[in-house]
Amino acid sequence: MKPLPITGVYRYKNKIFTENPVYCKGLTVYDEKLLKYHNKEYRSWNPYKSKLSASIHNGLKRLDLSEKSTILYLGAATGTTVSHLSDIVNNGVIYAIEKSPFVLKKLLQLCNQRKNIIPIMSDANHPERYSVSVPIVDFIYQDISQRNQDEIFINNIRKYLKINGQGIIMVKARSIDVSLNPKQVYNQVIDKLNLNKIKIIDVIDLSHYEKDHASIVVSN
Amino acid sequence: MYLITKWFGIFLINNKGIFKKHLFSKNHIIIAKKLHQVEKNEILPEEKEIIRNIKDKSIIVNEKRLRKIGEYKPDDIFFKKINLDSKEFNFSFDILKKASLKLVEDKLEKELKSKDYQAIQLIKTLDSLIQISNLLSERLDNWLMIYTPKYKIEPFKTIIKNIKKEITRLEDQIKIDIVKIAPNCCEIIGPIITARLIALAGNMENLAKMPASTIQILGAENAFFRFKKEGGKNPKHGVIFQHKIINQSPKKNRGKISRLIASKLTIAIKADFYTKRDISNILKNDIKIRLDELKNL
Repeated sequence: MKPLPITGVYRYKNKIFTENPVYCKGLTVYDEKLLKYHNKEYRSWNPYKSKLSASIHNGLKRLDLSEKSTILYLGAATGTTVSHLSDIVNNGVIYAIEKSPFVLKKLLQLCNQRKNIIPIMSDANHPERYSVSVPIVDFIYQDISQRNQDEIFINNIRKYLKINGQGIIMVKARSIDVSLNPKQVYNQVIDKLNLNKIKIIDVIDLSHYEKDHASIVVSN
Repeated sequence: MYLITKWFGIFLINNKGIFKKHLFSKNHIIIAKKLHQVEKNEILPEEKEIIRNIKDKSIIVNEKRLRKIGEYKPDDIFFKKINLDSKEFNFSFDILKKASLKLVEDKLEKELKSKDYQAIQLIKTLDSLIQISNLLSERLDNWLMIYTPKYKIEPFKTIIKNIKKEITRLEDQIKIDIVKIAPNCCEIIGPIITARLIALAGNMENLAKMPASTIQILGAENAFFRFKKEGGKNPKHGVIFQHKIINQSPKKNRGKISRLIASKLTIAIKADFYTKRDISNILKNDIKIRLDELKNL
C-alpha cells in the first residue's frame, strides 16, 4: 500500500484505494472491493464508475485536499465519488448538492452511514438558494452533465470558493455540444474559465475510462 | 450594513464586526423548518425583527429572497471575506446534518408522492410490458411451427395471456390518472401519448417549460442527434407521431401537422401545470381551422 501525493489516496498493484473510516468497517457503497492491510480497511476506487478516480489513473498529480477540508460537491448523484471524498476528508465536511429526487434517495442511505456528508436538495444553477447552509469552502467538485455546466461552475466558484482554493470540473463534451470535436469543447470551456479570471492548473483527458470527457483542475 | 442568514442564526454585520445577531434554537427540527421556509422564498420573521429598529437603513443582502428588505448585491466582496463559523457560536455540525437530513427526507416524501411520478411509472411499465409481450408472442409463433406436446406450451401461453390482460388494465388506469393531471393535453393528443411525453420530459414541470420545437421531436432524440452530428434530414416528429391525426395524414403534410400539434400542446401543458384552466375547446378549434386550411392546399 503506497500513499500517492494526493492525501488519503493509496496505490496497490495498479489499483487505487481510500481508507474506510473505522465506524464504517465492512460497509461498502457500490459493491466495491474491500482490502485489509496492516489492520486498516481500504476501499478500492473504481475508475470506470468515478471520474475523479479516472483522473488520478490518467495522471492527476496534485489536489489541495487535507483531512479537514470542506468540499462543495455539485451533482452528487448516488454518491459513488462522494463516498471516496468522504474517506479522504475524514474530519472535514462535504456539502452534496443534488436536484433529482430519485438518486437522492440512494444518496440519503450514504448520508445516514457517514457523518461528514450533508445532503442538500437544490439546483446548482441558483447558488444563492443554498447559501444559508453552505459556507465558504476549500474545494469545489462539479460533475453535472448540462449544457451550461461551465457557467454553473463559475457561478459557484465566485460565490463559495475561498481565495486560492481549488476546484475540479468534469467536462462532458457531448452534453455541451454534440456537433463539435471534444477537444474544441474543452478549449471553449478553458477559454471561458480564463475569461472569468480562473487559473487552469491541469487538464486531463479521461479517455479509456470515459468517452469524450475531460477533467479540468482550476484555482481562483 | 450587511444582513447574512446562516442555518444557526441571523447576523447584521458592518465594517467593525458583528453589529447585531439572533441565534436560532439548537433543535434540529426547528432548524429544518427554518431551512424549509428559506427554500420556499419566505422572509423569516426573525429577519424582519432584526432590522426593525436599525437607524442605518442601507442594508445589503446576498439572497434574492431578501430583496424586499435590502439591496441585492450577490457579488459584493464583503460576503466572501466574512466567514461565519458555526463552532464559534457553539453550534455543532451535527445539528446541521440532522436538520438537512430531515428536510431532504420530508421533501423527497412529498415529491415522490406527486401524481406525475406515479403516472410516469405506469407508462414506463406499460411500455416495457408491450415490448415483452411482442417478444414472447414472436417466440410462441416460432414454437408452434414445430410439433410440441400441449403440456409443454400451455404455461407459456398463460403468461402471454396474463401480460396482455395486465396491459389493458394499465392502459385503463393511465387513462383515469392522466386526465386528472393534464386534461387539456389529453383532449388534444390522448392520455397515453400525454403520459409518454411527461415520462420523456421527466416530470410535468419540465414539460411545461419546454418549447414547442422540443416537444415536437421528443422521443426522436437519436434521429435528432444523428442529424446534428452527421447532417441529413432532421426528424419531423417524436412520440406525437403515434397519434392518428399525424400518422394517418398524407406524408407531405405530416411535418406541418406535427408542428401545429406540438405548438398547441405547449400551450395546453402550460395551462395544465400552471393555471389549471380548461382551454381545450379553443385549442381544438384552432387545430381544426388549420387542418382545414392544409386540406385545401
